[in-house]
Amino acid sequence: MSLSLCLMSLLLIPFAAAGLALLQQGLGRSRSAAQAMLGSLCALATAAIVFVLLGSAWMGLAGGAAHVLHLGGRTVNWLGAEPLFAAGIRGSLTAGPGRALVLAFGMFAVGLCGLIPINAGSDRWRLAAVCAATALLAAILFPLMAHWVWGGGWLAQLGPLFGPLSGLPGFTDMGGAAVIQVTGGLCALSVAWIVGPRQGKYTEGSAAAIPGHNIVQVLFGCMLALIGWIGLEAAAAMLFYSAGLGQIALTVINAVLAGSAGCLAAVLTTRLRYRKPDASLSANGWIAGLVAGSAGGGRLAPVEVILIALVAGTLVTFLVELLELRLLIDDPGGAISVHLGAGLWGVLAYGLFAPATAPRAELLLSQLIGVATLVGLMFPVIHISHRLLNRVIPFRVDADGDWQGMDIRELGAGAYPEFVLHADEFTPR
Amino acid sequence: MPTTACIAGWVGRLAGLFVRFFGFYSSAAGPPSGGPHLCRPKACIRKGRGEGRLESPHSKDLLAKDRELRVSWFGYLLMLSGWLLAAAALFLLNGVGERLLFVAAGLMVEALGLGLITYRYRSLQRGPQ
Repeated sequence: MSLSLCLMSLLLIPFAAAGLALLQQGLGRSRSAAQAMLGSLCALATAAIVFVLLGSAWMGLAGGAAHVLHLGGRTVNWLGAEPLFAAGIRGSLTAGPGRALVLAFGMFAVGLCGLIPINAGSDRWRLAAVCAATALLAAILFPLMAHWVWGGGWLAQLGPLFGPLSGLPGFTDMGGAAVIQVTGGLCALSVAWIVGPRQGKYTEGSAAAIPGHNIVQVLFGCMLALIGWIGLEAAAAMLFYSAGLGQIALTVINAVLAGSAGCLAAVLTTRLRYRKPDASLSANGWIAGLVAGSAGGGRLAPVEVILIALVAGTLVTFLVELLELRLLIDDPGGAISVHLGAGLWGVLAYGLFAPATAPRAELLLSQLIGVATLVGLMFPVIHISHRLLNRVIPFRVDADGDWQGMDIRELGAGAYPEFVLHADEFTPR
Repeated sequence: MPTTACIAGWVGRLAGLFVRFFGFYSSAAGPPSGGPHLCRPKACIRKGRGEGRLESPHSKDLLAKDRELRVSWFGYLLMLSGWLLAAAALFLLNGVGERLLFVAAGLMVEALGLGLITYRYRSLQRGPQ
């Protein structure tokens, strides 16, 4: 691993956070823009502090100290057991920068993961609740999954644990499609269910379109996100899968191709369905392509990544509609479709397209087990803990605040004080 | 003997829970013919068409809320059961095909649980019909 390349990749990750923050505040209403941006900043801050103090200990390191369970004659590594409060990090530098680099990566990754649900709770999720939910994510939820996949936990060790004879491969997530994107997407779904739709979204059985207030910022956010994604995937591949320089170069190529194919697929799909390309859905297609492509990173061939991203970009346009119109889930930024839907597809697609280091059925099996764990174990844990948290710190702003806008309600001043807004009435679809 | 009694007690309790849940759940939409059905609070027991309707609109709301909560918890349990099914396949089976089949079955159970929670959310959003 090249230390300088790894450091440079790490330094690019905040661009992804900036991109996502711009994207979500642009897709929300103008009366909540400042609160959305401050919420993103607070989420990043809370995530960084809580993760370094608590979460990093439970995320652990591959080959580091861990809590184990003995089940059926097998030793299941289920939680990291590194020192709390990042104790001993200075001392560990003499042995090498490995632990510090993983800590830095985890800090950025959990921040990114914490930004995803803000997108779904936009315009009605209170700032205090954003901070509390992010703290919960950074302390427990993210480290749990990160340890299982990247910290030498049971999902990474599926082969030695369950299939020494048949050579079952471990669950693979090269760039965080499962650990960051799907976990964040599950949090987004939970938050969207808890806070419910915005006032005026569903009236008399039909859904009103509440368009984003600044699509230019949304599209600029997509470009920033690409830079961040390249850093994220490259850093994860180097830190957790010992990727070489060649693989990193392919990771960069694949990330650009994934975003491009996802965006073009969404442009084409919306052009065919609505006669004109939809800018916000195309932006979602871009991010969906990046998310789906990040599961395989530099291990997949460019053609395979293009195919995966084309499916992801198309899938997202349908998922957004399904969630909004059929399931009555108000997700202003499309976070659930983009991060959860495309993330799950990316994880499965890795099992279908990855180089055959093991029989195809076994590759697919290990990815399916990862998906089953995310949906069947992580989601109930996330949703129940969010519901409990909601009893202590109510997630949703009161009815007045909903109409007034989160900026005035929570911050006392609007994001655009020189404009007078009259947007209470929305055109039903 | 105490062990047998203990097991019988647990079986009885589980059967009671099952009957209570499904008896209650079947009352979600009400029987098409308005025939007898059960729901948990005594005040809601209807014995026939237009007979013994004791519930007020308020108690109806509470009942709906209670039912939604039960559906929701049942959804979580199904999701966890699906994951346990997938995990058990790894411990108990050896063949790749068998494992794939069990993991796929586990995923379907999870999807069913997620569907139940989605159903709960949708019916809450739509309000009392």
